[in-house]
Amino acid sequence: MLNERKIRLMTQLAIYEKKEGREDMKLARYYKGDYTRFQAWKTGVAVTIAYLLLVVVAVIYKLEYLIENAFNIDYEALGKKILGLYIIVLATYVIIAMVCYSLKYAASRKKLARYFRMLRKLNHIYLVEDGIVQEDEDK
Amino acid sequence: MITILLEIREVILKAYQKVRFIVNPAVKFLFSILVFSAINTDLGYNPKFTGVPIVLAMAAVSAVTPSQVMVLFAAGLTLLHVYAVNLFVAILLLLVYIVLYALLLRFSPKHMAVAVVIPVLTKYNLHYSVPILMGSTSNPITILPTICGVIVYHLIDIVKGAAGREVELNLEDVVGLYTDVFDQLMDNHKMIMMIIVFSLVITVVWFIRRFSFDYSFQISLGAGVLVNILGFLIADLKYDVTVSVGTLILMSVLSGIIAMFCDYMKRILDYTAVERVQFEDDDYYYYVKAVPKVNISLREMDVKHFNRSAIDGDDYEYEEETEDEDYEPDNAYEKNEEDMEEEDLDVKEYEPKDFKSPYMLLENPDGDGEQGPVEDDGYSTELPDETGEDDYEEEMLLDDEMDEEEK
Repeated sequence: MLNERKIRLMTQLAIYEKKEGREDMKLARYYKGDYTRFQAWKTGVAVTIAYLLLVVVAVIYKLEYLIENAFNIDYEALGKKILGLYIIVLATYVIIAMVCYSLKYAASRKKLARYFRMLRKLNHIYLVEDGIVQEDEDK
Repeated sequence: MITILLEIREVILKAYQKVRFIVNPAVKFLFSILVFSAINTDLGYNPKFTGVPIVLAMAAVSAVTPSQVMVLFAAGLTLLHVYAVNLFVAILLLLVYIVLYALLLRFSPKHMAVAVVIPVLTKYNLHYSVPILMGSTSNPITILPTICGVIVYHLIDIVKGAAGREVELNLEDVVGLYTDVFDQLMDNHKMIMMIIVFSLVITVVWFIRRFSFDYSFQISLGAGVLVNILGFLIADLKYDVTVSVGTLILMSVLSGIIAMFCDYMKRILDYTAVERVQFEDDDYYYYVKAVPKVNISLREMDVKHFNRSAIDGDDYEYEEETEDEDYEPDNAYEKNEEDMEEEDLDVKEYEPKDFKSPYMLLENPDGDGEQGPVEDDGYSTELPDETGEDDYEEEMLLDDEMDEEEK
């Protein structure tokens, strides 16, 4: 005999698995800390590459000045300035990334929790079908 | 009159449900053609890539792949065109693309297309609609791709001028070229003001639409249009950025209307998506086609039976609950999760004495928690040919009652 309630639940579960579920399950393989740290690392690498490119571009932009004053430039101060700016940019990006990715993780956990609640309901239907528990035991 | 309009809408939506598998790629295809031809008109230095077959082929691939592919094609096409006339500008463009991707685009892969949409729409003065739409459908993270789009538009404009320059292969010329391009990019008040205004518009629209007061969504769009107009007027006064006031106001209002229309369509399109899923249990394989009801307030789930006709009358619960992120339901349909789950159980909770007929025991489509027979109010009430199960339950109950009476 077809159990409509079961089919409805299974359909909802299947639609979730097919769409958002995929991404959520991927996230669920990580702990929250691991996930945000991993994303922060990736962001850090991307920002570093971008910053290096920007420094290269800046060097080309100021090349004339750099060549003219090659012996007068305080390289230590310049280096500190570049490094300081890098740390500020990196810190800003990493902090924002950690906040955003942890929000994303929390949202996905919420959806996943709902998914598991539906799975439990489905499980209950199976138990009822098999006669292991009574129909309204969970209420 | 309104009824007729609603009927027309339902007819269109029903038709759309049937052909959405063709319509969606077709729209993407047309838009891709628009993008690639715009690039070819602006930067068509390499005749190999300006041909119609190449454009059509790229558009065809973009139509059936995620929007990121179109962005990649567009970036590649600009690079190839510029490379054909000026290697150094091409290298510079590539560097800027990498920086833009690493700093702005990679955080919002779903909205990458915005980086292409803004440069294209700017030609028609319709780019004001993008931030309004982003604010009304998404979150402030879309500020990043929007900024990227604005930069790309101005960059392409500058590159167009620089690419034609004759550059000898010596340091002085190359450095001079780079310095010129960056000077133009950095001193571009119009670009900077555009970035600031667009970021503000996205934030304001997003912020206001999240409030729960009546018409908050429409008010947020209005506020977005207003911020847009005021922002560009201030930019005009302060930096003497040439903006035609009439065009600005007209296009901002038009953009607001377009954003409203797009948002409406997005909602409908999201909620008319037919889902086909398959799964199995110990006894059956199920091939289920879940059809949301066209009336977007209510969805039904069609369960296909192999030995019975379809049973209707269930809200499409899954779709309803994904709302809380992007979709603010009309007040009439506000339900919390617990209500929904309770409703899900209601079918089993009916007291048999309420049974008028086993076929009339579907949920109250208004979702107000009351149960009762389904009235003929436009909802599908197709019913099973034969159940037998409910009759049996009723008989069982009668037996129980008789037992009690005997006692």
